[in-house]
Amino acid sequence: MYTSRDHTTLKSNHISTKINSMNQAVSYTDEDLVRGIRENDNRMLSVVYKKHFSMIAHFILQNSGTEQEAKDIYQEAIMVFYEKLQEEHFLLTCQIKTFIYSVCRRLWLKRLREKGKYVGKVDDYEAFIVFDETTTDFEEKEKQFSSMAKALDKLGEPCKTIIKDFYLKNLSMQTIAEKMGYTNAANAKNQKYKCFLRLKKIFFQCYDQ
Amino acid sequence: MINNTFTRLKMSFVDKYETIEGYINGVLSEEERLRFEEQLAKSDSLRKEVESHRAFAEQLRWYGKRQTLKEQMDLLHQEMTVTTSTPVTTATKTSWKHTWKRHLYTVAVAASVALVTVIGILWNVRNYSSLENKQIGYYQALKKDLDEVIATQRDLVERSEEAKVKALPVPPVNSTATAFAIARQGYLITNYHVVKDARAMFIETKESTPQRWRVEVFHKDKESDLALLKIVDTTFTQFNYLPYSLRTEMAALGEEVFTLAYPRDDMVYGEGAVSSKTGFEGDTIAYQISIPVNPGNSGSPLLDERGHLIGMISGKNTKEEGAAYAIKAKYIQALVDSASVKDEALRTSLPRYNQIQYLKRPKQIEQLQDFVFELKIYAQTFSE
Repeated sequence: MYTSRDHTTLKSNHISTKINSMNQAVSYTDEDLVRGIRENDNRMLSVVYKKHFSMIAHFILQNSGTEQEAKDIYQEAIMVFYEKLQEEHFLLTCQIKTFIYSVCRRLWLKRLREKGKYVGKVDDYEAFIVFDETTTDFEEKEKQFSSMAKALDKLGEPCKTIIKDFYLKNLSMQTIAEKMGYTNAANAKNQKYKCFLRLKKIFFQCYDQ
Repeated sequence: MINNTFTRLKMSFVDKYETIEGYINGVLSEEERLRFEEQLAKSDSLRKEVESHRAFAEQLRWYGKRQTLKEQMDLLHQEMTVTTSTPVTTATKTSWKHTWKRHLYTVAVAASVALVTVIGILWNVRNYSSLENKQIGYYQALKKDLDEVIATQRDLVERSEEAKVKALPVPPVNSTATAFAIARQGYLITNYHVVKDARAMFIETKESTPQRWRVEVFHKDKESDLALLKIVDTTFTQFNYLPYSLRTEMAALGEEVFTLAYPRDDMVYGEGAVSSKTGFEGDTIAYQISIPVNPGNSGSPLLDERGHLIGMISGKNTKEEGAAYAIKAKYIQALVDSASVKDEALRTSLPRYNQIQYLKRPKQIEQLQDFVFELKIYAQTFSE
């Protein structure tokens, strides 16, 4: 019984997305988009990105935010959406639009509370889902991400470049040593070790603040 | 000696770190791996160290992925703001060029024919323009209609495969008005009173890129004096994202408003304020506004300070100075809603987010001008 009801809601979601996306040049269903993003198709991500910004901008501007804040929150939500889709067992049980709106809504409420501007209610323009505590790791992730960005900034050169080259760009120590002008890879390794320890320390400082 | 020990000690830390990293990344040799695992089994603190290292390295890589994604999104964001400011379509331009090339010869003949016929026609044109209740100079009208004749001739040539132009009569433009886009798919709004006797209509814009499309009435509402037009040209693809959103709640008395219109061949900007919440003789469908308007202003958009669409200019009071009337946005919404039965695309036609609200007026107009058109109405059809 329960499953069949679920099935019908999914189906109707599907149809309404088709209608919504009619004003795109080519229309994709939510299913197409989800599959595309799972397969790392950048085009699909760009379709999703461009489609929903105006909705979020409207929501945030109407609830005492700025355009820049709208952009930040929106990008955060798109990243959450993208990362969720990379998880093997994640199942999207609502429309993409609803998911993004709900994440943005939650993040924005949190931001408002932090700013001390939360008045107990916001103007809503869309249907939204309420996340339970187990699925709200995206708030934690937002914090981790900004702490890491701050830590890397504080780390300074040449550490920042070495760390980025090795951990993010997967360059070999030999290449890094040549690039940074170290006489040999051992010196570069030495430097990397120091940088790694320092970054770790700064990161946790930033995180705990 | 001390120094030496210190270096060795430090090296061993580095070595340990390198080994942990190698172990995590799976690049240790078989022998190294076994030796390390042996040590791991013995030492709890080493195991903890490996775990913390692994977690942090993962965190870093995750950060990197996110960072790339963020950069990608910033580009998309830029693209999004750029596409809204570029001119409407390029597809039309190329196909126009193509047609032009193909018909160059026939058009040349037609143009010369046109010049001959013009002399005969001018007399009529003069009569027409004096009939037209328009406040444009005589010279302007003359020139305007001459251009019109040539343009119409060219159009006719395109329609008939053989260039039998001589025999075709050329209907002059009977009236002009303004129309503005309401949906990307080629829908426009204007007044019902300007289109009710029309046999053929074209919209034209000369801002950024000159465009000319044939339009037909798609939906109308006599009561509120509104008509929804649709571009029927096959060369038309779609408009850019519309920059304005509809504001259906009541405008306040004294609110500053502006309009863009074609009372003559070039776009004219007018500004004023909402001077009454009701229109002619208390008509609740309209606002009274203090913008000087002229015939030809019919169907021009009325926007508030931030560029929200709050109405459409429809008429003026000939007995009162500076009293014009604009149909409220609420009724535009109602028309679009009732037309959306025929085309679902209309349901989500206008953006909810107004992209021009923080721009200065000249910039706002720059964004708006591609969506406001001169509407040319022919009461006679072309005989083909």
